Amino acid sequence: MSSFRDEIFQLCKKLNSMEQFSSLRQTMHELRFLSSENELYDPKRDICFNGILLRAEFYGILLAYEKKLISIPSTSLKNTDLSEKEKKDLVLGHSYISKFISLCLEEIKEKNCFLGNILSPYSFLFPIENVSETEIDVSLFHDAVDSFKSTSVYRSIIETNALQAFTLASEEMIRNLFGSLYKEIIQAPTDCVPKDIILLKDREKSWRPNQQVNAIDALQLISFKLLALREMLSHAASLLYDSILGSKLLVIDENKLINIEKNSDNTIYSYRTILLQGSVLSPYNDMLNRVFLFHFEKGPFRMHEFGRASSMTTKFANENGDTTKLTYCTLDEELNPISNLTKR
Amino acid sequence: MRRITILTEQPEKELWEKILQYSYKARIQKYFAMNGIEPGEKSDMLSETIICSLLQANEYYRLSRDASLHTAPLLLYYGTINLFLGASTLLSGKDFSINGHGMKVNICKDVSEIGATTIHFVSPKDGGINVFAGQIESQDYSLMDLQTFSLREMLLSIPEINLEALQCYGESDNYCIPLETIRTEDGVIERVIFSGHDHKAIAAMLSRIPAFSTSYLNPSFVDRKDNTIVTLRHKYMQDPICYSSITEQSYLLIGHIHGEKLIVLPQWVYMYASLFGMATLCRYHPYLWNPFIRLDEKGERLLVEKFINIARRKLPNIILNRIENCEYSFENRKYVPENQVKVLGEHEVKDLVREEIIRKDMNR
Repeated sequence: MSSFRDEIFQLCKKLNSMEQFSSLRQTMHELRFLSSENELYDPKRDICFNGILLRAEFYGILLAYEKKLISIPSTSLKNTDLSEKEKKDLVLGHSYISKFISLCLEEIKEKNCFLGNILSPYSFLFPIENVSETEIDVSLFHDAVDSFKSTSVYRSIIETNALQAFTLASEEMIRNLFGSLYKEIIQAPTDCVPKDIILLKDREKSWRPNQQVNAIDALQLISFKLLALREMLSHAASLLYDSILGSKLLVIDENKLINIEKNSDNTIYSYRTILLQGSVLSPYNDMLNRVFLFHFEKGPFRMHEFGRASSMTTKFANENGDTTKLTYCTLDEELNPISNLTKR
Repeated sequence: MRRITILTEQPEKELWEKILQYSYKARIQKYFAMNGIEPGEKSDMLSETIICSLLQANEYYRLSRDASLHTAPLLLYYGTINLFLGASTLLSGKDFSINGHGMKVNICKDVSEIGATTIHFVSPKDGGINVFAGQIESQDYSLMDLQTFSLREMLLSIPEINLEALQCYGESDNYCIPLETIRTEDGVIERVIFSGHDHKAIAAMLSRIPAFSTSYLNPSFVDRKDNTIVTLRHKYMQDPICYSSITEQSYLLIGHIHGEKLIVLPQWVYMYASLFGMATLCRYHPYLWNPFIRLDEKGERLLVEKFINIARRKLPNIILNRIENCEYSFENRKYVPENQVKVLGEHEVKDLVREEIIRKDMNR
């Protein structure tokens, strides 16, 4: 079977060519770029932009409109509601991504409902109300869902008794655990690894087969794998979102690359810092949520890898030319950014 | 290519001393042996040819330094023929049957400038310049397909005299772009300032630089009052394509469009052919050369004088580099010890402090 990443790309190809999304694409273009006449500031467009910054695909945009997420609080909120047509389009896009995620997590949900819910990439955001998802043909997702369930991370959780450890935990406890892991691992700078994680991985290396291990250590290692699953789904959702909107996979290659400033590995990530010419624009998605392909080849030196930006700084240097410094973590074949942490 | 810097107060003298080490038979034999050249029975004859050619070349070069423009181009051209013959024989271990110069001059009698004189490459097999090109250029090199070049085109293609050539002939046909090299905290950038705001014309000019798009990222354009500032950055791991002058300023060399071809000739070809053109004028067309030297009103004479000085300095350097397969730089400066202590820039210190603060925060 193909890797999860390959199956997601196959699914993206299908979604990209579906006529069904033409109205949604038009709606997104209007929400993003067309402002009311003679208006310097258009709150409706601003809300869409802020929704994109939530890095939660259509869910984030719908939530932003529901919560009236505007940048200037005193601005009039007139005409900031989505029209019926606009809402229907966004819900259609969201339904596809949401359905895919729930199919991937259904087995885990059956075993532990709280855990299944928390593994959804949108679980840290407020729920959206008044949205009834559109019925869609799920056969489209069959291969991609199967390949998700065949990933080493997923199998190591579902084929062992790993989930039993969470049976007695309350929803709040699970939420707090994943909240702190997310902050410590995903949101922290890629080159900073907490000392306790380094020590835990050192201990893990010395474990022998069938050895009784510390329960807290075991629970932490399982939590890392669950966090990896969440990130894998988050990357898949971002790729599906881009293809639903007709965007092609972003490729960063020799035509933008000035320098590879850092090429490094640690206990959590393999990461690079690259310097690019100009800015990297992504009109419908926050660059820090976007999966891209980095390709560089010169003689025997070749880099061909998928990545997700963890930090990006664009410098508008005028006469010296604009540059962007981008740090990204690499994604493996399962779209897992923390494979150094989840593999033994 | 290995780079050797020689610190000297007299670069030309030092340069010729290096070349004239090959005016000794033992040195020539050693060179043949070290480079796997087997001259066979003709070894002695070839050695004499090399010795005589190089000594004559040196003599002509020295004489040209003190001569006026009435004879200086001719002396320098003869010196260069001898230098090239000696070097070609040394490089190949063969003798050559050379038939003529490999070039012809067409005099443009109606035009009031020397630069309008045209030079045509002929005799691809045994013409002097073609034989030398086959030895001096490491790959197979042929000038036979080239059409006519004007003296003006040639002089505009030599970076060291580009400013004077532009002042003399105008900026409509330029073949060298001087680069301002700047070290920034985001690496080295190169900058060119063009007059006017015609970005399309600038882009068209840059597209006439061979391998430009392979070596550089897309240029960025910033308009200022009367100028356009073009900033260039190299693609990652791509070799530079710029030409480094004697003073080590960088230039981009624009190709000549001849027929459907985009041509950038080696610098020695521009200089050798220009010397041939000027030598022919002063030897065989005094009715043009004499008034040019005495009555020039355009200032072209200043350009020719500068060209003669640069050719005298550069051509032997190019030949020495080729013979010894390294890049010789003769510099008039004092010795400075190598500094291996890395001095961090302000931005690097800031980055280090920022990283340290984050690391401490994480482990608190």
